[in-house]
Amino acid sequence: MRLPPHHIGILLLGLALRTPAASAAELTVRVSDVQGRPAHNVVVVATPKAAVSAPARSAPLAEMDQVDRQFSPYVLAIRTGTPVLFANNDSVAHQVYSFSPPKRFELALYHGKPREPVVFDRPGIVTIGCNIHDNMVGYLYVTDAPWFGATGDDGVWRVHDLPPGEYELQVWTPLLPPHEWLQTQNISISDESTRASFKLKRALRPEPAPIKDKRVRDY
Amino acid sequence: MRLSCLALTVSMWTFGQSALAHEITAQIDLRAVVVDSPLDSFTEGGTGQLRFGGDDDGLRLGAVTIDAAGEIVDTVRYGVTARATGDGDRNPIDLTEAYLEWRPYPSSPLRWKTRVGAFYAPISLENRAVGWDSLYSISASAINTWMGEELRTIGLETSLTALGATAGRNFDVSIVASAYGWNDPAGILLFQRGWGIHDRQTALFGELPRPLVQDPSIPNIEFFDEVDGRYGYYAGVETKISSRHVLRALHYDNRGDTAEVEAREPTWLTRFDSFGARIELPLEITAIAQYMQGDTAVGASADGRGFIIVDLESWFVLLSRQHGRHRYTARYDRMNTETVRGARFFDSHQDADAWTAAYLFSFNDHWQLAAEAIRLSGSLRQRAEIGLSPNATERLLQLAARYSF
Repeated sequence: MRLPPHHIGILLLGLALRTPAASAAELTVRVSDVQGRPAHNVVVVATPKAAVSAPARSAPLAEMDQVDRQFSPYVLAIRTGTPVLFANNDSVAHQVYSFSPPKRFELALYHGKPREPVVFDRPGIVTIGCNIHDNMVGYLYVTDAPWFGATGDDGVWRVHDLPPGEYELQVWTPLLPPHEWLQTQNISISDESTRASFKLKRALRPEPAPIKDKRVRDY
Repeated sequence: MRLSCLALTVSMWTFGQSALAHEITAQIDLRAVVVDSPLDSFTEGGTGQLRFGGDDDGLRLGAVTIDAAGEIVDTVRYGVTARATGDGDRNPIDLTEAYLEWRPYPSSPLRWKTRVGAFYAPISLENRAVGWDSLYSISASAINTWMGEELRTIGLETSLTALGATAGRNFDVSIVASAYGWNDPAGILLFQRGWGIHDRQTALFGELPRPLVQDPSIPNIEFFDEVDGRYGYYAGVETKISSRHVLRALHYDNRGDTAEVEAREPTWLTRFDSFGARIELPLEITAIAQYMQGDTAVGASADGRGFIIVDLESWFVLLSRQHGRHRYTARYDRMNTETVRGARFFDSHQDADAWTAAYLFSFNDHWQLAAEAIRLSGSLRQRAEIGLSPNATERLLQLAARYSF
């Protein structure tokens, strides 16, 4: 398609307006397991090695749901200071707790929405359980890093606003033996879009299964 | 008056919390039954090992179950199950389990749970549904049928679990131990009738007729009684992998004093080891296998091991597939008892096997339809004591309509 020159001008103006003053690059991180299959729900964190002008971000309310006697999502990455609402959309009550050092808490038995969210004010890994249903396990990955997320079904996590510079990339999943939970690599981000990939050393374990059959009572 | 007002206020407050803290389920199970058997069922005093015998064709009550569970205080819960089986037991409806459970919030990867009351020992890998029903078929395997008939922990059980999640393990390991009483008659039904296959659980105050006694003036068997003043125990270990697969081993010993015979039921010394595995395979296929081996003994002897000793052994393999709202199950049971001491006084000897096929269809969360065919075949030598042929084949086809709310 050929565009008249004034249209190109408008298009360029539009692009210029979309791009912040400091140049920013796109980073695509692809995580696969040992057989090359996309690794879903793996936490990816990009930490700048030198001070960069990270965009000021608030820590909006995050939610970890409880469906079919399991936490959903299984892994949730959040910024330090984020309040998390542990909603319960099951027909049975739950009693959510953690004894992980970054955040110890207990939520007395409840249905629906709990009275208050839980604020995670220290970085680290928080393992979540239910005191009634021992099969329920979930993880919060609490980080100070400005850029983080989790891979989708295609094993890809993408970020659009990275200032150029040197970064450490980390991927984390609890579905590997603990000494392989974390993998890191260094990456240099230039003005163009950058790609990185991680290949995990083995196949991910299955996530803990939900219990869909309401007749099941042995937990 | 003031006290009753206070009680009313407290109970209103408790009820106000009830939507949150209490879960009550009621289930009615109606059966259409077709039987091909030369025997009367043990429920009628026969030596048949299924719940329904030769004359029981027709519509029958499977069970009415009322189950309540909930919170008393933050970390203490109760569980109560009452059941009616409509076959003339002493109480039309009676408790099968009633207990309190203390689950303190874990403050480290060690998780502690304690139950006190009357409940099932952690042996069955099939009986996972409301009211301790099997999730996979109508009738439980021979091992778990016997659990429902003669075994109940009336006492205290405590377990300690090493939770794996925080350390990045995908498995939890538990040890469990219990001390209990009121299980001295355990073994008598197995001794007389051998292993059976059905879904009837003996209630805490329930009775059954004696299969080999034809004198109606002799009272029925009472199962949960303390005769010798000795507590029994069990101890076991369990591993759960990825919240899916379960491995279990347990040793049970009711420490019965076989010399104690001056009671309605003499004391039986019943000891066994139990092993089980439940594996979740692809395509929503579940595989379960359990094995139990031990002995039961009665009567005074110089060595205290019993005047008559009967070895007991059973195993089963079950395969079940969930396909949407449909479930298909096949199970093979092997059942053996053998008198190894005192056989000339009473020779308890069973050598039998059983095939069970079941289909369950869940319309929704309330309605379930279940169909089951059982063929139990083999010999029970003690049938000769009452003039019956030891060999028999029992066939049962039952269709259950279950409504729960």
